[in-house]
Amino acid sequence: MPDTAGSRRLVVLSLNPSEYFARGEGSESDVRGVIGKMLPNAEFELSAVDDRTASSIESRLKPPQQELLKNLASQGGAEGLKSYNVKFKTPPAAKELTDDQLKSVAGGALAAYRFDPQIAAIRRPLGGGIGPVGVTVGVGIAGKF
Amino acid sequence: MRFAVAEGVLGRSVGDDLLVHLFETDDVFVLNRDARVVFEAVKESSSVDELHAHVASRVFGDALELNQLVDTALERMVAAGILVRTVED
Repeated sequence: MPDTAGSRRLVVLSLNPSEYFARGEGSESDVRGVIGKMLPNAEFELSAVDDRTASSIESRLKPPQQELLKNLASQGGAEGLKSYNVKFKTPPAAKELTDDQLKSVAGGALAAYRFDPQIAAIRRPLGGGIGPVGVTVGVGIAGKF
Repeated sequence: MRFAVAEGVLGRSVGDDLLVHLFETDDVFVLNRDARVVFEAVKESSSVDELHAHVASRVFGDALELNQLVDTALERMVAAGILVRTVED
């Protein structure tokens, strides 16, 4: 599969606010590109790590995060997965960022923007709320509701 | 198990948000941008894993935390009648 198209498996897990551990398919430059597109204004260093270093980093992850990595490996193609250490250099100077930049930056202290799905019911006025509508119901009952 | 958009659900964009109308109950909900990402991911995914991956591909953050937030949003949308659970294909 070419690096410029299709989908890939990539898991990103936080070690601390400025350091992440990533494991996924694709070349280093490809993974760098993916993260760069997601955080266009964040400076970061991405470095591939060998298995021994990866194991050491994995031991710093929380148990549920380690479980997630196991699940990723169990999906097959584990030999094609590479591990990376991601360190952010961008200072968490939120007030220096624009609103759009704030929305695009995520992760620990860098996270002026936090993924926060919200679902809210809209309460409408009784009777439809569109305004006075003449309605006739049955026989002999007419008026504005 | 997977999730699907319930029958009779109509969405309309309002800026970054999505206004969702349920014909069955005439209820209207507003999904903010992040909830909208989850809603759109449901339509393009055939499994929960795929759904998680879809959201993770659009939002940078800890994968585990993202999955939990997505699952919570899914439960809320099911409770609201916007989504239904179905058996995985």
